[in-house]
Amino acid sequence: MARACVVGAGMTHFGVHDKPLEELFAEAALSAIHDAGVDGDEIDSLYFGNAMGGITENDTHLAPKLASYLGLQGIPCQRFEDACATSSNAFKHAVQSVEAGVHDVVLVGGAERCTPETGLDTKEMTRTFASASHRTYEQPLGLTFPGVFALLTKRHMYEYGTTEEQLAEVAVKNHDHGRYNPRAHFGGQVDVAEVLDSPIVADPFHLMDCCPFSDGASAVIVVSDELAESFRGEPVDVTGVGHRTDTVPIADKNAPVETTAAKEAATEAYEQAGISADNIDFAEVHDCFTGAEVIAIEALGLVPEGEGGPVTKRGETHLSGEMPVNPSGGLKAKGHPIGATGTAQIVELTEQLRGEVGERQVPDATKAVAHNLGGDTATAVVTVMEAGQ
Amino acid sequence: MNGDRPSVAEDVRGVPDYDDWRELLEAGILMGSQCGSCGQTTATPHRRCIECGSEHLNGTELPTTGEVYSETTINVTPTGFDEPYQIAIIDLDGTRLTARIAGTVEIADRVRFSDTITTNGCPAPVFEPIE
Ligand SMILES: [Zn+2]
Repeated sequence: MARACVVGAGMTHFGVHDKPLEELFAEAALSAIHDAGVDGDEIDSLYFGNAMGGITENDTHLAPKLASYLGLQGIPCQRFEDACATSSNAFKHAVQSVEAGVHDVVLVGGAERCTPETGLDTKEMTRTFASASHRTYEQPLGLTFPGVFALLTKRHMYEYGTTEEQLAEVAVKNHDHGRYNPRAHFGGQVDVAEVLDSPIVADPFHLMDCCPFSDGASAVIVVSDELAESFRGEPVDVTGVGHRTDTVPIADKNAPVETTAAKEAATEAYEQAGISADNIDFAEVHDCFTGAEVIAIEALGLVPEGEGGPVTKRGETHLSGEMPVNPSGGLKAKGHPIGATGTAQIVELTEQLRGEVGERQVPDATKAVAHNLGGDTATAVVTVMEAGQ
Repeated sequence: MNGDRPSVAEDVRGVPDYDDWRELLEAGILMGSQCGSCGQTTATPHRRCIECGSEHLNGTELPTTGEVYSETTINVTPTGFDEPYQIAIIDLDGTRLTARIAGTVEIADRVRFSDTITTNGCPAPVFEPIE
């Protein structure tokens, strides 16, 4: 039973954009609106995500601003901020609102600019991202986000024997997938040696283990199950959305390496959908760093604990493998405009489950999962979507 | 470092807060926060217990030696930080704390609390390897 349906999906190219957030978001939103075949005045509410615009562009109170540019002023509009899980949380609330009958047709999305087009260089943007770490117990140490995931990954390597080569295989795979995604920031054939030869950002992560700074926007139209058939866009069912949090700072987490919030969010999402990890045909996961994908596929129960590295090395998570992970190229190759990432995963699930993505299509996919982390894994949103009946 | 007195952290009146933590840190004492109901201990303050939700938290002095739980060296540093530096999560007999490292360590190495660094007025602990 669907909690809600996505009837329209759209996103910008992820990469470098020299245009205001309102124009970026409008491009994604119009693409979703046209895909759904929704009239502008049918939209009841905007659920919008942007994580850092207040810091990066001195731009806040974005929901009504962006709505105004789209001629949607007047309806209730709200903005979410949960670090990198920002627009997944907006999506969760949109699903709840149509499920509860509060709204019938909701526009959900996110937009963010993270490249030097903002005027911020790598050191400044690294500092901005680190605003998601603990203000008094982590930021004074100079802890960065590559650093946070490096701490988790190093421990994973220690406990399970995961290797740098296995991590590099995640980058190789996701760049390969990115080649087939015209909206991806990067894509191409790279090999393990190139990843391992790239400069170190925070060990064990080399530059090519890290997602890029990207600009971009994504959007979907969420409607109630009963109304889904009345739109032109082919509906895809949202059957589960799990949302959990964990303790900050990272040192206080009971089991940092297992990403407890993600594990619990996955359990919740699978329970709502009435399925298990065995039923999943493919996954879009939060590979902000290569090690994060290894940990993510374990947290989702797609592979046994500690097996994320070897499974990746064997090619099982490649598009041609048994359990394709990040067919879009993931954050690693598609790009990671923070507030746009969550709904961009929903865009990929929607288009894959409709069977309309061409060369990167996962054959016969009917059930898929999206895994989006915020901050130091203190927020996790896991969404299950299924092809319409 | 803190001599023989067992109870400096326990002398903190009421629920320990950031001011208590930083003042003791700068005096060479790692003050944790211990739950009066379930015993859960964290290395930095919370207002309610993260395990059982109890409001009865007291200051407790943590050991100043421990074992490296994980570590990384930050090469690409944020504004305000220049040369690369190592950061580690330290396990202090079951309570974890994130710290800077003076020198170089690997996971499972023994380390001791040796110093503090201050960034924008905020102090943070520094640990060094025990030879
Ligand atoms: Zn307690």
